[in-house]
Amino acid sequence: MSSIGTPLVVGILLIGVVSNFTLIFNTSKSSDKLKENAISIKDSRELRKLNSRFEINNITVFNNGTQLNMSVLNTGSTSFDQVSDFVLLSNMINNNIIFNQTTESNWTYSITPRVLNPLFWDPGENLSIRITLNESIQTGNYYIIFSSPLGVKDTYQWYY
Amino acid sequence: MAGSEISSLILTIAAITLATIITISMFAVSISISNSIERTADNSSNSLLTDLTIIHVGYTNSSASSFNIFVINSGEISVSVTDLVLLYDNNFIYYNDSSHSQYWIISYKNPTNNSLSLDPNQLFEITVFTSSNIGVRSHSLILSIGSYSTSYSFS
Repeated sequence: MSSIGTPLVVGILLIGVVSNFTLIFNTSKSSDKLKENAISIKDSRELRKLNSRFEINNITVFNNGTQLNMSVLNTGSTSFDQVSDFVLLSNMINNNIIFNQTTESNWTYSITPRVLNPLFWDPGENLSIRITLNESIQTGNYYIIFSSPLGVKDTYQWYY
Repeated sequence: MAGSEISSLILTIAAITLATIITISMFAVSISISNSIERTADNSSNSLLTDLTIIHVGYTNSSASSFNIFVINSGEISVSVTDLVLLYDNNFIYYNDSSHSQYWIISYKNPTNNSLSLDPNQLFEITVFTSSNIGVRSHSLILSIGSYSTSYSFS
């Protein structure tokens, strides 16, 4: 081989090895970073779930059974910023079987007292929910479910 | 002399060509390995960011032959309805196929739309149809997507 051939061949192979190693190494590093971020997000979500708690205290009926007022106390250590993302399900109980009487109903809310952040439902604050029903409720046993977007929920059974 | 120089030149060109081919082949293998690493990482991340919470199961009729499952997408990424797998009392339930005695459909989404993509914080309702009264006893549900699964017991 000529005097320039050997260094050229070695150079090409060396560039190839270094480039490939760099490619695989960088891909591996960025993938590890991706997984670390996902683990961090998941841990944050689980911690938020653990710290979320609230209790439905009372339900009263108004307007000939077309409106319900529900009181929910934040008994956990988490503040909620998107109360409108909560889920409210109401069901009728018949012969100890819970039926789906209605799915989600129209509801509005207010928060008292405003202790901490005015935009959040903070620990210790009471959420007053007004539920407007599509038709008057009938006499019977009812079962209400109030759930956060993370699936933390409380239930309340009451008789009308 | 001229002959040996030509031979040397040919040899050099052949060696360079071979080295180039080897290098290009190494790139192809490396790219394949990198893609595999990225795919594995994506799947792992998606599994970690997926979270479905069953908040309620209720019967839809007095014969208890069908029931509704209310599920919240409590994770950080959207899931496709067609990727969901549902097991009821360890039996596979077919999706949207009424030719089977046990099948399920998406009966309600909030907000209501025709998309089969379930976004984070979105509630969706699954209706399971069975061939007969499922009986007043404890039942189990398993909802899974990819490597993620969640379970729920009801009676």
